[in-house]
Amino acid sequence: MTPRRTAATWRSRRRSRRLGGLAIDLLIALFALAPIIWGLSTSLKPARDVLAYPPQLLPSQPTLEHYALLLRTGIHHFIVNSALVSVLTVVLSIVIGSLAAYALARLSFRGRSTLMFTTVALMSIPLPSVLVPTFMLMANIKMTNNLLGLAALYTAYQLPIVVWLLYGYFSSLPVELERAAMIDGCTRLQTLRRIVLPLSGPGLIAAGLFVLTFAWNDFVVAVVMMSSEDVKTLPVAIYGYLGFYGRDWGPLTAAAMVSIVPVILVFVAFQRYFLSGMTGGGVKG
Amino acid sequence: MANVSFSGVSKVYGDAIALAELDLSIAQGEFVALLGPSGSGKTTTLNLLAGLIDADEGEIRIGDRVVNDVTPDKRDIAMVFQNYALYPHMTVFENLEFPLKARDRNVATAVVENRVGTVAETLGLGELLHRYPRELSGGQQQRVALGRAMIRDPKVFLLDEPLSNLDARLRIRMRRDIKALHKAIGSTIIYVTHDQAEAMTLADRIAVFAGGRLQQFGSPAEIYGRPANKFVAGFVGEREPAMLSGSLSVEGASLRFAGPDARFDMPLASARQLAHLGGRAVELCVRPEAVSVSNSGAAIPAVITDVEIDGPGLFAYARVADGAELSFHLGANQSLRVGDALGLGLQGGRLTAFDPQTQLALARW
Repeated sequence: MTPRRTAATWRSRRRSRRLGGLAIDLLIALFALAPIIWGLSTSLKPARDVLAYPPQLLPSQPTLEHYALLLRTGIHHFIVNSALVSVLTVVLSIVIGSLAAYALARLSFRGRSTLMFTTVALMSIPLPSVLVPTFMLMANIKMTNNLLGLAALYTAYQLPIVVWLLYGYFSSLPVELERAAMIDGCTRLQTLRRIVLPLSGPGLIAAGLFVLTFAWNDFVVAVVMMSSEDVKTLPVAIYGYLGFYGRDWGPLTAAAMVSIVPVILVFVAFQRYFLSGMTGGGVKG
Repeated sequence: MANVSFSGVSKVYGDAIALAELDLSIAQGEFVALLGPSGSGKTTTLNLLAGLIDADEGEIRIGDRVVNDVTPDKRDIAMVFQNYALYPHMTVFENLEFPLKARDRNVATAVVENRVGTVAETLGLGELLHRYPRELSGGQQQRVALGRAMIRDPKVFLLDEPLSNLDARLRIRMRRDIKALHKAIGSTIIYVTHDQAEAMTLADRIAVFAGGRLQQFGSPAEIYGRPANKFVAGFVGEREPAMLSGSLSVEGASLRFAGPDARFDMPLASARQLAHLGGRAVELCVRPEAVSVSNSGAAIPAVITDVEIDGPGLFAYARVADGAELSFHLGANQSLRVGDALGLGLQGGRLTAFDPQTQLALARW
């Protein structure tokens, strides 16, 4: 066999392997996206077509009537609530989480490993199991039906994972940079703010997105804590559309579409950092 | 006046003694090298002085002040790290101004620009001020690290193996630059290295460390010529010396060395001084420059086992009758081959005998 033919054989083999991989990727994507595609299609159909048989993937008479209904019933109000809670949760989690993670990564103090272990162990407690006692506590301090209270709860739930992610990221930074900063005249906190945090962008973004998606999507905690209409978050409100005019799929799917758009946009904007943040510190000194 | 002093300073990690009862006093403006293999305590000493780790015992002073409980930012020191530790998210300019701005947030822009300009000019960094560290070569990064240390006028400069990441040529050039820098600024410099040649060429005084203990503190000439113990003799010097165990005895006009793998007579320069060593077990350190080719009757018969090109001349290894191996330099105009038989002579003035138990120097002649 001449070298030329060998190279050609390799090329064609590589091409077919790539095509095979692409086919599998498409299959997985289709599987994952099917509910969303169905939801999008349903949200654009007139009410009478929703349950038509055979189902149409592309609506024959697309309409925005369900979206118009959402606006008339004040969905923007719930979006604002959700956005407030989410942003507040992200800020609280990142501020508290980075301080805690830095202390665990760089300071030596009695009980550090116990604290680290406890933090990790907290992640394994299933959320619903603490929901009722948490509700009683929150009710006692009058923090139910309160956006700040909900954000505080979300922060508490998400802190272990944030601390864990940032701990890994901070530990991977060369310690000499921090030593140099301290010798150059920085205190610990200044070192964190001027050296560690600017170099931890991908880690902070990964942790922030994690918290953001949780806070934006959470239904269980919100439905327990928030009963009055004016503080409901979007997922709880969507649940409300299920029974708005009987079993009304149109408004429900339209609301669901509205709720996933911001998350998708944020992920698309930050996906590059998100990946490198999850795979751990790539910063070289 | 001592500018930096350690008295009885110890540092322990678990069961491992990183530094044991260090006493060391460094004068104002002195260039001191801390020399030793890895794990010898030299870097621990530097980190203790920088305040990056805390001493378990003893007292550390900078100037008149005890600094044991002073945080690094308040010690008025500057440090250059082995991997330079340049802030990757800042330009060269921002790296250089960082120590000024970190200490005084309201420092005048004109002052900063003036100071950065001066340092950049001294180190030839003018063209690079707006680049990021990742866009610089190793030698340039090294210069920026030095510049960042120089930007303030600190009491003490600490340099932690600053040249070990550079290639051999550049290392020798930077060595001269650092020496010139010391001359120009006149500050106290403490320089950690495992490279004895670096310590020899740069330092006013060298502190040799091993196993967490200070072995000897003295000028390069003292360290080389009058090693305090066997470790120092073996560690300092371009080539490893031969260490021969045996016993000494005075035989008429010569000193006889007899051991399991070598026996020979040496001319006895001052018998009285060495009389107390008669019959004593010793370890004899024979540096290459103490060995030469000799045709005299007292020459030690040997066979060449290896020859290396060493600059303009040669460097040869020879095995003596009882098995020990000695090495020596040869001039450019001599030629030797493996297997050649010849006689070797030992020159006085360059031999040191050590006590095999305590490892301490007993006599040199």
